[in-house]
Amino acid sequence: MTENIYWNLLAKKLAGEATNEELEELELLIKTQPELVYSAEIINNLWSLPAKEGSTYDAELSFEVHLENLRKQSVHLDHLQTPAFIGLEESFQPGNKKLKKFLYVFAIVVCISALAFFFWPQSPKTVLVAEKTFSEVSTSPGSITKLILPDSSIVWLNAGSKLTYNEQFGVKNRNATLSGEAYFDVKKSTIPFYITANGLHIKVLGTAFNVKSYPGEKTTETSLIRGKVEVTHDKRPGEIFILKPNEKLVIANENELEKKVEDIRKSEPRILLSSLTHTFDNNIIETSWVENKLIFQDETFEEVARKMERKYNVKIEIKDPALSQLRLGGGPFENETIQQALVALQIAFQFNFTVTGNAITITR
Amino acid sequence: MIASSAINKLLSRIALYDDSSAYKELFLLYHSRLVQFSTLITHSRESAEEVVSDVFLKIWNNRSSLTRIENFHLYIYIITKNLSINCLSKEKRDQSFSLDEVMVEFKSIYLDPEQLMITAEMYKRLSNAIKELPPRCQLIFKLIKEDGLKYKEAAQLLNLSLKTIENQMTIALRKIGQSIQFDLSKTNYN
Repeated sequence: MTENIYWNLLAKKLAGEATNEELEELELLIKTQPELVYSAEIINNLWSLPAKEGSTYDAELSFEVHLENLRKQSVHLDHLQTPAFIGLEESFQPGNKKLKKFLYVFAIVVCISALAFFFWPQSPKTVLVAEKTFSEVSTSPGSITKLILPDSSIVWLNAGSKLTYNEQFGVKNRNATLSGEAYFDVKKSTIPFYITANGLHIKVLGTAFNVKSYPGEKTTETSLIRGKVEVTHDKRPGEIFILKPNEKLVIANENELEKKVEDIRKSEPRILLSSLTHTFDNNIIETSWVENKLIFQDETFEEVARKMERKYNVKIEIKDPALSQLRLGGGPFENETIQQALVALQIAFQFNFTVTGNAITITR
Repeated sequence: MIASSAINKLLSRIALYDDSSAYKELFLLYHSRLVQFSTLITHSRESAEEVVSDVFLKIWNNRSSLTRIENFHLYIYIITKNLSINCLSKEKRDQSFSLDEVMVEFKSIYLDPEQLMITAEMYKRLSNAIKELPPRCQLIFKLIKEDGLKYKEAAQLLNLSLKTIENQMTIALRKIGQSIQFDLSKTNYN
């Protein structure tokens, strides 16, 4: 009987089901019955042997079959990178010359369009100016808009932002101008996707990233979730910054007032490359607004107030300069009211607030 | 074992951004274990492949609600089980799938005597002990050990009580343990 208890406890321990008391009980059993130690050890070793994985080739092949099934159900997955399988399909259908021919022609077309793009007498910036019809999407404070661009790229536009693009977007070019904050999930295409935001130029092919460039804010930020982007800045000609996933490029904007005082100092923007901020439960702070979540970590009260203003469509004034520089962490606030959010912050930080209509005043 | 935080990350990428590369990653993570599990019910590797493809079709079609699933790991096994039973012919389905007829193949118990530091003789005993476990017992042992299910999850998946899972695990470990213990008593150290 005690033996059954022993095996039961050992099984629970290995499966991670044992409580602390049960673990202690097991310890005790092993101590009093040393003949069990050996078998326990062997079973322990047996349990920790890793599973022999099937080859990834098999799984990849099954995925390809699965994609075929999806297509039969007319489900199409967009911009999926499966370059390995072009080769695979060929090897399975040795007689498939049509496919090969198609691929060659396709490759040549891609090359020509790429060449045409780079050597065309107009740079993408002038194209943007030359074509006059623009579409403009803007969001008011307190609202987030999801839109699908003509090339089927998806954009989430944060509150108080504006995205402009021309009539030819998706046909001849993919140039857009942003003021404010947006999350882009760019559809793969041979036409590069350009975003201009406050002197910053971002070039991408197909990827997901976040750009934050609100007028009046101290920095312009580019955060990359996946893919690859190239960033250049008007004030840093000749320099190209290439971002990898999970990286963020922060460029300090020139402060108009500061510029007048320090006219002689070169107005080169300061640049910082850092990684994205993950919270303990796997939220990425930089893109949390897409889910309407307000999260912040080690940000000044001033910055937090700007985020709150956008989410809640309010005006926040911090009366105390020391308070506005206080660094806060908090959230996620999702369905909470602004009052609830502020009260939650009061638990950790000392301040008072008064609400009058849309205006909130924060004092010490 | 699959880390649940990694899974949740993939799920939110799929749910929020229709991220097809995350979808592929999820497929590669689960494919082999689900095919093995489905094969236990359908008794056919081919049907199991189809079942798993249907499981993932369902996941793609319901992707927007993926982040709301409380326990995705259990959820995907339950869908696999249900679709596998659906795929059985009607008369077989009526008998429902019998836990006592499953053929379990272990992927992690390949009994490398060297890695386990045991003798060839013991290795033989050990592997026989595992082979001789009743199918239901093997299945539960496999789901807990290789598929990383919790006792509670395995109970829910197989419509068994928690106590049954506990008992079956005890039996599995006792049989395996005794096969080695027996050997130990016979070993002459002098």
